Amino acid sequence: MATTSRADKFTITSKQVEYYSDFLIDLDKNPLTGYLARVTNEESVKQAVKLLLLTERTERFFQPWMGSKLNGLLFEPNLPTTNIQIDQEVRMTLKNCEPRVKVEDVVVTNGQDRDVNDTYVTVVFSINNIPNKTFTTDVVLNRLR
Amino acid sequence: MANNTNLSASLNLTQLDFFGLKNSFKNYLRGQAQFKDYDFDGSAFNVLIEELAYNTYKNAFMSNMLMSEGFIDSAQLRTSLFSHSKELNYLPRSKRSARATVAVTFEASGVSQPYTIPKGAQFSTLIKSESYTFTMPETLSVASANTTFAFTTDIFEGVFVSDSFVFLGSPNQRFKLTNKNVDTSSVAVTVYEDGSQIGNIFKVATTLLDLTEFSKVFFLQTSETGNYEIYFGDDVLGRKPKLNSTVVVEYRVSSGTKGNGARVFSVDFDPTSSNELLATPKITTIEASKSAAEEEDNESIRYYAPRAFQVQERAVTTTDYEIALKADILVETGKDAEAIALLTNMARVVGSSVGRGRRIIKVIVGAR
Repeated sequence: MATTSRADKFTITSKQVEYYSDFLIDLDKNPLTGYLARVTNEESVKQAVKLLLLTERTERFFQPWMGSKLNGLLFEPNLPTTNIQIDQEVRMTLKNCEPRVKVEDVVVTNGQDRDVNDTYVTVVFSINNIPNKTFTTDVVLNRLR
Repeated sequence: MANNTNLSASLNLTQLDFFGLKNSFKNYLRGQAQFKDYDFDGSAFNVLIEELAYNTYKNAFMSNMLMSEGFIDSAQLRTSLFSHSKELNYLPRSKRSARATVAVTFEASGVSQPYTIPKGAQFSTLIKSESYTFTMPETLSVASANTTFAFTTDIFEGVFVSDSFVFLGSPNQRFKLTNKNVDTSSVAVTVYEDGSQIGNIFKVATTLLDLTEFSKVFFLQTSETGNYEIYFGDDVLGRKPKLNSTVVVEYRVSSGTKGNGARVFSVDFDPTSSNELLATPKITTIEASKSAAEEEDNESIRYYAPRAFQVQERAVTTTDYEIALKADILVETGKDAEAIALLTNMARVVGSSVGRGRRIIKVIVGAR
């Protein structure tokens, strides 16, 4: 039978329930423990949303439907209609591939610097197991070279 | 972290399906509590699982393929079948050129007769609007008492090409024929030794019987790349060429069955070789081109290689004869002479006749 130390017995801990947990996408480790670092709950979902949006459709083996085609839209004319397409693409991707979130809003803004041609996408969403809260994830679309 | 781990479930990786493997990994991970997102497609853990599943899938596929290629019954790659055939001492048939028979008549002054018509002299024809070249298989000499010259010859579809090599002394040296469309029945090997301009002709050996260290023979086999290749004896079974000899391999490059059906030919060469023609040569087609064949297909190799090994160049039962004939030549395409010649090597041929559109060759089984 496990024994409890006095320190543990009298230390007040408000341990948060973990609904979701994942490791960091760069496989970074926890500097204190040396174990693989983890992200939990909303941070985990935020990471998953970003990962899905930046995954090119047909990129995953055997799952061509996975991901979005946002990178392809980078090469469309810089018009309001393209922003609408990005909006729809974000919503459709998350609806199809991420059952944990409900998209509340998608804000698409174009970079001010014409030479850089960035597009900023902010996704506002709520998470199923975390009621009455919304979260945001920012995705920057720009060309690689 | 490790204290909470309970990965007692065994990891089942025997499936060949990507999604089955992925589910196995997921089931395995249900025994731990540190990472819960493995079941969501967007998670980082899911990316890792998919990589593992894909890697396992590839390894499983690779193992399956390697095992398949290891047996003649299941091999799919032609080169694998060639390798298995080699173990069974069976040479898969190459393409075979279409053969036609023509009679050529020409008027010439006859000043420098007899005229020598070289091997490889070319005839042209059209088959289904496509041009094909037929060539003579051997050198021919033509003479006449007057100005009218005539000869009859078989001609074969395809032109002759040659590959030259230097023999470096090793009995393991292979001479790979560069063209895959070779008709192996036309391969001729000449070896020029000691810088001589006169070559020694080596003949193809199909059996080790009666071979000595003086036999000028070469062996034909398939290579690992699917080409045919030749090699020489080791001074025990077959004579080894001298060091630094030049080996010239001449062979016909065939178009296979596309060469069948040519009826009208024209001469592309001067039969006199010295502008002594008085009129354009006339050609009469005695027999239109036929008997061509594509290279032996995989299923045929799979069927005949073990059976040819079983027969071992002997013929005892009637089935042995059928296998020997079908493996070596295409009897059904009308190569009667070759069939009779082959049978004569194995049995006493006592009669040959044509009945109901088929050639019937009577042999005394077991006698030679």
